[in-house]
Amino acid sequence: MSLANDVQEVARVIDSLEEFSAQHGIPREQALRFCLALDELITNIISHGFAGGSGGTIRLIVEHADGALKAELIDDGPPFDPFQADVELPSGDIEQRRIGGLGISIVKASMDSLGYRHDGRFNRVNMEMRLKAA
Amino acid sequence: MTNLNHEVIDGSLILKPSRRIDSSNAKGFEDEAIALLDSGPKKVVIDASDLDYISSAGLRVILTTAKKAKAAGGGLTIACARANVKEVLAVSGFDSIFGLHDSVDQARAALG
Repeated sequence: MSLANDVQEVARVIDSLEEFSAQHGIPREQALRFCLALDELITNIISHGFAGGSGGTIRLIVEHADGALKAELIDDGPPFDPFQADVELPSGDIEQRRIGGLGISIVKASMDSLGYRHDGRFNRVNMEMRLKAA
Repeated sequence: MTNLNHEVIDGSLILKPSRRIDSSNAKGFEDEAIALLDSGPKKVVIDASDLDYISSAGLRVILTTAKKAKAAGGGLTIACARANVKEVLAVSGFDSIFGLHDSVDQARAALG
């Protein structure tokens, strides 16, 4: 599916993924876990990759194969590796606490494999989550 | 559109979001939570029993609400989180800073 540069698109992605997962017999809890990683990565592309600009599109390809959910996010923003961005580790009490970097920590904690490359024209982020027997 | 139910029990504001707090609706939740906090009690319990999804944008809502509650002399804690949500709260360390409780009553008691 093709997504506009707008966080409102995340709702559409999650709804579609829930439908896709139901059709493929994937347990809802695992589907939502996968959605969460997609949510974080798409939000990241919109806020950092496109840096708040209004242009740009993101393409999302999802497949269910080999007992895993796999996705590729392809965007035409400037080269941006979400996994190399500065990650501020959560620390401090609630007065000092910031959210920066938490999204990527959540992605890393929930996916089995992640990859990034720039093919000369597009940023390509790959992710994979192995499915557990329900 | 957000799904944020709320009620006041003995001086505590119980916020009960349902379904999802994702990047697309987090801002709406934040605006509603802050408005309720401004006009209501400053002790806040997030009752997560109907919530099956929270993203880092949702964590930001919790953090903002907690800071505001604390500044007003109250506090915030979390009750009845389900597995998916619990996992995100654990990755972020929010489970230890805000506390997770098995019931709204326990959460209210923890706020004193």
